[in-house]
Amino acid sequence: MSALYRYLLTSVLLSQRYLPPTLIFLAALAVGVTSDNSPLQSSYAFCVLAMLVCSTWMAVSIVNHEDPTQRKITLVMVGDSLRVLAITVAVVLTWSVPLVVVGLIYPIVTGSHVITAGDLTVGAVAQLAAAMTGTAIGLLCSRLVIPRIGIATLTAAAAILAVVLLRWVSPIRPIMTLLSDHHTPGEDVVPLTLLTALCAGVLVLAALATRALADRKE
Amino acid sequence: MEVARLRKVSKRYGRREVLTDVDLHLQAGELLALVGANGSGKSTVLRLMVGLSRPTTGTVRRSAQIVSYVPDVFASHDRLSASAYLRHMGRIRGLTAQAARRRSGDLLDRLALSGGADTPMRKLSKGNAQKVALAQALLEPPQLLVLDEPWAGLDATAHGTLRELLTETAREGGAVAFTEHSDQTVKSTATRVCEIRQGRLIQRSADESHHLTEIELIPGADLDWSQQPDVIEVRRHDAGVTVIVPTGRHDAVLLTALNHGWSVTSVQQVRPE
Repeated sequence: MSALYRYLLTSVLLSQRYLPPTLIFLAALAVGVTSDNSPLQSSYAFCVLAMLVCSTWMAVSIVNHEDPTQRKITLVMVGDSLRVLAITVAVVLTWSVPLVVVGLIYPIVTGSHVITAGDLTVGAVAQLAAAMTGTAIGLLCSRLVIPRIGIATLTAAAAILAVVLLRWVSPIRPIMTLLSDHHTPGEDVVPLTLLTALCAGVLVLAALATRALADRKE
Repeated sequence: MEVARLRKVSKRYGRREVLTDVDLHLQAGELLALVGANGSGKSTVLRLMVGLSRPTTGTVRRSAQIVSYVPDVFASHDRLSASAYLRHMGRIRGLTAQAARRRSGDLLDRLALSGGADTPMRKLSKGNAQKVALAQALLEPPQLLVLDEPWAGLDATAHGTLRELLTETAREGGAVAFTEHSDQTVKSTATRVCEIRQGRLIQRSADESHHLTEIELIPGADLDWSQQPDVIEVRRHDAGVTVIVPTGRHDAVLLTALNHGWSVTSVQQVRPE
């Protein structure tokens, strides 16, 4: 199914739909972490927040990018809606990888921090976890589930607020707390690994729910 | 061989029942036309057939491995060119890049895509977008080809080409199902016609649906018409030969005649005796 992955990736690349969330991510980093002198992991806590918002936007943009009639053609061609959705998720995560790289490097370049490989690993894993959670929210707020873009935007905003503000709604708030509490990278390994696995689980559940709701409409 | 079967299928959207107890089977080599008024449920039957929709009650069975679908409206906002789009679709089908390029080029040439194959999809007119939609469905010879009003928006030349392509698909063993409002188009293409009226499927009688076409020909190169597929009857007379074929296969027979240097003097639809 790499052919479908390549097609969706090329189609999204040419559509430039990734640009608005990417620019907002850069703007958020410019405001939030430029000239930050706190520990590097604290800067990454802000990057996690920015990644959550931008990956949600990215997921909605990419899933909504495919025309409904083209989606029908693709579904008939592939013959399995879950496989099509899984490949779409792979494309969204692929577009999130450059954001993770920028999110890792930007605080180092613009601020003054003590840098260790452990901090970089923790930052990368935490942002990847945020990208997975944002993708999960984006899937459930995409046209496949909520056809009206206004309602979808409000739902996505409410979901992001709930995820960030309420402690045990998702693993994001615990991850941000973990990064802000000035632990050593070694102390973060176990809880961060568990929380990231939980984010992956949330994404899988969101994909299954999106598939079920999208199929049910038909 | 049965390619698809709908058994006691009903479909409900909310409180509205769109289809009631639909029984329909589709055989390989068959050209099935679904006719009916707007909103009668024709497109729903097609979507059920290809698996885009699930029946509320009843079962849908498909034995076809290669299924192609042409939606009623195909408006792509893609910046990809038509040829690049078809290459991608071909690769998804499992063709090699070279085979996908060759096949898409052939199909676009036959359908006479105006503006060229390098035109971005988003800039194609409705008719040209429809041609690309048809081409994607035929990249790999389908075992089940389902088309929702495929003639809509096509120019007169492409009308004939589409009829030829559908007939060829059926001749190669594919089952074809389509919806169409034009009675003339249905008569000249379909081998079987079903009408959907108030959510119920009504098989048209053999007298209504099984039309035959009589073709009068002046001989050219040596060709034994009785050995040709689809030819029901051959009558030899002083002026030439008359062959009787099922309506819907006549385009392929005419093509065979012309390719062998035969001359066509008349083509007319006749009722079976």
